[in-house]
Amino acid sequence: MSGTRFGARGSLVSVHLADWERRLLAEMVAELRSNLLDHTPARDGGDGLDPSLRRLFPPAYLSDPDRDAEYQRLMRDELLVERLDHLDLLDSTLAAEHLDDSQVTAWMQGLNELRLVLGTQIDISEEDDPAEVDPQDPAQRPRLRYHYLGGLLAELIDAAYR
Amino acid sequence: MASQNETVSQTAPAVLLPLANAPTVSPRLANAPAVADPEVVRDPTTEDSHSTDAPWVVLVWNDPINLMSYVVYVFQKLFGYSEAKATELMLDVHHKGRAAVAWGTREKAELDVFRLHEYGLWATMQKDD
Repeated sequence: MSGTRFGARGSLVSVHLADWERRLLAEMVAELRSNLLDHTPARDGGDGLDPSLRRLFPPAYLSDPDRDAEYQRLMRDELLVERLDHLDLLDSTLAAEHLDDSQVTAWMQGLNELRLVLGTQIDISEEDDPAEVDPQDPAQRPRLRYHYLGGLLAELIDAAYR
Repeated sequence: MASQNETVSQTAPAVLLPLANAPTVSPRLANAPAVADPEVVRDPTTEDSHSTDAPWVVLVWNDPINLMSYVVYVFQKLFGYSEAKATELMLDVHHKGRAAVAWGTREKAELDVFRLHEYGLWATMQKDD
């Protein structure tokens, strides 16, 4: 990773992504967006959640199913709306050269969500080594993307902090 | 948690991301005994029969996906913790499996859990006893 894909510019963060990166992000955001719309279950409980989305809608109460059901009934829709909102903001600023504070936050949340879903799909472990991923192997594409997003998110955090 | 280029092991920068939405309550207040927290004075009409005076604690659990630097960023942004305190909490999550990051009434804890979920962290809440 080059480490120069984001830079601090006053109160803004500058973005230096290649066209292929912006296209890749747009594709992944669109996929997640439609997955969220198709597979987030209605608020009437049940847990018909697509397994790969489970990490996006975690329980609030671990040992109290009744309270958790109530919490999910009240909050899941709102959480879904928040997620769609910042995915939209990320998507609409993919071509931007600079990001303001709220856009940076949406990028971080969106990039992190993409990682959460990919990481869940491939059952990633903490020790997974990006150096071991074979970029030529189509079967490893999700793993490659997962690590790509991790590098991107780390650079964005660095740029926004420093 | 996943590390990314050992980002968090580097010396902490003094200047952090502008904490535009950070609460003004200091972390120390959040750690203070319940009697010192004005939020613990409850309106009985808003409490259900399960509730007692015990405040609620918000826990964040370790997971293999969230980056260490991201977790530190979220703790600072949501709770106004210093980078040192946020890093300490993140390391607790990483090494001990979980850490208590906020305390308060059930309503406040639910809001904190929601905000942590919004950022993709694995947060739950329970009675602090």
